[in-house]
Amino acid sequence: MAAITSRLARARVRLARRRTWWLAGLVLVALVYPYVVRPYQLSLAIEVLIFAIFAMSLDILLGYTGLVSFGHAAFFGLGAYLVAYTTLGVTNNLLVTLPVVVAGTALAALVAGFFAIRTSGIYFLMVTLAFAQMLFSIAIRWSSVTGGSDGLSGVARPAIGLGPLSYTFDSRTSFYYLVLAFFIFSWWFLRRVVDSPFGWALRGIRENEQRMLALGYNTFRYKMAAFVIAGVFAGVAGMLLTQFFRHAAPENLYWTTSGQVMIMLIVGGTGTLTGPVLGAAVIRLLPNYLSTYTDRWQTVLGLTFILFVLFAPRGIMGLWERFRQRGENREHSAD
Amino acid sequence: MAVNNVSIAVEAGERRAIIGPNGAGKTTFFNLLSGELRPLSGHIFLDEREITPLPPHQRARLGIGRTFQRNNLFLGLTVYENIQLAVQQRLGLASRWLRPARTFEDLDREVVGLATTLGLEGRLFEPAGSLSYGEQRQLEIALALAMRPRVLLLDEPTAGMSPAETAKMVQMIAGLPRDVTLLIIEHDMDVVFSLADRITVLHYGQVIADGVPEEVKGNPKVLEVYLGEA
Amino acid sequence: METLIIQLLNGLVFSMLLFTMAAGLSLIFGQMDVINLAHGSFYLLGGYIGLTMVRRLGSFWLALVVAPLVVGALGLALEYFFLRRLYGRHRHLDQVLFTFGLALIAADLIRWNWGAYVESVPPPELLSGQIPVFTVQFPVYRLSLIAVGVTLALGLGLLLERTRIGAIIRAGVADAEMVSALGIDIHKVFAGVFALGVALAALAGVLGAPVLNLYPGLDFEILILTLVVVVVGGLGTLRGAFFGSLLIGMADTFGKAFLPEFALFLIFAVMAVVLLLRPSGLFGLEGT
Repeated sequence: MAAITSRLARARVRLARRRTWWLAGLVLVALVYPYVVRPYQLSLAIEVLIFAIFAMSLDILLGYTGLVSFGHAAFFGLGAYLVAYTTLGVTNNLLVTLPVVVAGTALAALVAGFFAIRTSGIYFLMVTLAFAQMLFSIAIRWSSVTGGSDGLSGVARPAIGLGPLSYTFDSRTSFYYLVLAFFIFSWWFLRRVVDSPFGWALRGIRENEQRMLALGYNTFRYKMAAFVIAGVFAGVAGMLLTQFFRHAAPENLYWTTSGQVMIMLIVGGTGTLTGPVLGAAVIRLLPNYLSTYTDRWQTVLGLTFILFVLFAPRGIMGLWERFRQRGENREHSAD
Repeated sequence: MAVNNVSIAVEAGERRAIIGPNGAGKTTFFNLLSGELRPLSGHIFLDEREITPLPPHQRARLGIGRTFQRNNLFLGLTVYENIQLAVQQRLGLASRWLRPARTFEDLDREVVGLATTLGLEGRLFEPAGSLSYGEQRQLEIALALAMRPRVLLLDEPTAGMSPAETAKMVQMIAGLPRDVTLLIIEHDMDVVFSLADRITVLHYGQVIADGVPEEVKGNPKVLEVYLGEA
Repeated sequence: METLIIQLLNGLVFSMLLFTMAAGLSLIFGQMDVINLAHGSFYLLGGYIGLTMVRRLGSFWLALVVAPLVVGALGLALEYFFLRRLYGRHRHLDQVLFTFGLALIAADLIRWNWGAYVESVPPPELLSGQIPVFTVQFPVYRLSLIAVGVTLALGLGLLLERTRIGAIIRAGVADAEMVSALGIDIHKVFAGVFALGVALAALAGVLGAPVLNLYPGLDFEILILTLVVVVVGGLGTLRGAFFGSLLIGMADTFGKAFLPEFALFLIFAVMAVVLLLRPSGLFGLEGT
């Protein structure tokens, strides 16, 4: 028995070391990136990183806890409008705007979650969808506050610091590093949450909620926690996007945005945290290349999505797993 | 009514078998005890404390553990992860959210230990869905035991098992500490008579006999119910 | 007073449209456990097909027949070629995702074909104009919609309760495996129900066009309201669809009339209250 655990322990250490090298390499590339690419590609990278955060947040909810929300754009858009409103009205200082976004989206998640999570499966899906649409319709109509269908423009780039010691992330490159920092933090934080006992509890709820209850888990609380975490990170992503484009739009709350992030998740692979990052890259870059050939990129996106749903429901990560399994099997049969 | 006017009192540490023909309401009775079902009328007490209004997860916290008639596992997770979920809850680690689960050594030790006790150490890292039926049954028990329950409801623990597997299971159940109260639903009479201190017989949702094995064996009502059914 | 009567009548009209949608959605869910997120797309498609028919052939009545048929056939094809691959207890989410992908594609293609501007459809000659109702003048066409809605409700109710097909559908709602075990080809039932459901949506689209007009985005707006109706009324029950439609139709109409900025918020509040009191909806079956 000691042999089993130590064999496992050694394998884990090996895997961890390999992974650390990979990650270090990626971080290095990411740090050098702005200096080796054109501005347009830098913008693309910023978008991909922002949507990666958005997609990872949905993965916590959908991939790990099994809560299928089709209205995740609600928090994304809420973050967008909160930062726009605060920046235009008060300050662009992150020390103010970030807590506003976090607190605002957390509160909204608590309220929405309180109603949504008492419902199960199908109803949950529809309640979350309706909640997002409700926010959208408020954004469109409450023009005095939200700017109506035009949204809020002229949002300044964020600054950080106090008094004389403040730095504004004005240039594209500096903003890139800000987003990169947020991304790395989000990745690190969500990874830890997912690997923790709490994260395992979420998986347990996804796999068999009834059994979790029989084991003594108050699953309502866990689902609420997942909902709030997911909402907050989505809100932060929305904040970053608004600061990048200097504009908050109702589209940020619209179902097509919920749809887009859902597609990223499915294409990348749910329940993996890496999948959504890959998915964000694919789904953000694809329309860019496609739009030079056709206006129908939403159709192509939808078709890609359907193809994955039908033939590769576990996404790119799933395909990668299958590919690796086949490689291993071939190795074993060769011995 | 699946369970009608059933009144049962079980002593602490007792081994009580609940038997009766199919459809007698035995599993429904367990569901009432563990909280999955609410009674239309009546009360349930655990150690003098009324637990009738409590939901399943709170009854589990108070020490009521159960296994299910049909395997109710986390099929997509490995054996290790299945047991981990049960143990981490008991150890109060389940809400720790910033440290990887694998860094909790007592958690790891206990999971592996429990798996070994039930003979599952060779399958620790296989998905529960790939286990044989008998192994899944054992995992069922492991999950319930991991909670260190005060009252353990075993719903047909030996269902579908071969004679050898049944014998192993009986041995394991018999070896459980005496401070755990056991309620066992069983169809296998050999198992019942080798484990039970007292037997309660249900038929069409009602108690038709209740007593020590010798009494029940000779009870004409019980014989009629079983032989009549045949 | 006048406004009140008008809004009441408008509310009834809208409720009937919602009911036609909700009945289809509820049928599809009850039978196949599939939430058809493309249901609004079928509404819009039906409406636009109706528009084209009215423009090209000048007949609203023809549109009422052709649009549901075309969309129903499309539904059959989609079920046969795609949805069928996704049956199985663990693929429920995939089914929903599929319909979501459909909705995305449909929205794009519809806008491509029919443009982004709001299109209006005139009601048929026979039903144009207004007649006095109580103390107000109210469009004949809208009144006829109320009649159609009630007739449809009765008709569907009869279909489900009194016919063999209805019995099969109801049995399938309760236990699809059992129906299959009885030797009835469950695939044909699924295909038929799906086709009927989306045909109803298309019918609603044509019926609703003179009242709500047609524009990109309407598909989703009506989907959301239909979903709320079905959640509030209770999934899988016709009665739930009917009374849910009444509640939400009224709430939406009065909301838009008196609190235009927060109409949807009102709907959401209604839904929240209903769910708090009855988590499975007004007529929903507990534990489904």
